[in-house]
Amino acid sequence: MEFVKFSIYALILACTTGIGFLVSQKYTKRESELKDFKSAFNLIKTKIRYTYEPLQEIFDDIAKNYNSSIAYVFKQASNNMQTQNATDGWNKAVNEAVISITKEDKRVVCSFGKLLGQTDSQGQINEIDLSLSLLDEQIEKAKIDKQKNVKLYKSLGVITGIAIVIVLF
Amino acid sequence: MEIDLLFKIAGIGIIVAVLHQILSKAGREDQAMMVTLAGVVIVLTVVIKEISSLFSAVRTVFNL
Repeated sequence: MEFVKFSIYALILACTTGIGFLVSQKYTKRESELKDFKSAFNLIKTKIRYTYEPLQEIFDDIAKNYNSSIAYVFKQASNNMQTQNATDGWNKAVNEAVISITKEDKRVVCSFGKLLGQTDSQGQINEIDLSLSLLDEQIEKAKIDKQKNVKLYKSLGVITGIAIVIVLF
Repeated sequence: MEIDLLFKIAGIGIIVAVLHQILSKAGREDQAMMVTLAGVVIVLTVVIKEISSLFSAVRTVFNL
């Protein structure tokens, strides 16, 4: 009986610690995903400028080169482009993807697709530059959020677990 | 009254104090306030039985 009681306490503590850790990880992931998007956009900009590859091929290429969760977005966008235009396909892929970035970030990432495949290469490059500068702002915000919240949620998880165990004791 | 109860209340007090510090450091003063209030309520529910037994003891001692 005693053993069961203590194992349940240990389970509660492990659960709350895990929840705290998972929530704090979301902030870390958000920053790294935004950074991945930034480098991917830079790659796309270069490819549009110098290689004139079709967008679908560029996106497939990026999906292959990146192994994080953003690869899935590019793969999905490339699939969507078979039936839709580039802007709609990109927006759909970004909005449906299960990634850690917030709604505001998604809006900025979506703005990247606004002129995709619709104007000449110079216009597209300008549009990508604009969304890159917006993305930089979001990365700054994500950094501040991360600094503020990662430690908080980690310790909050552990301490809440200890509090529940003490109350139940 | 068992000594366990005292330790329990002391433990809750320490935990609430630490939580208050962490939350107010992170700039969430209102949530820190709520945590403190919740701690007070939890401790009150724990000790309410003892308080009621104290009152009844006082009553019997003074024949009220």
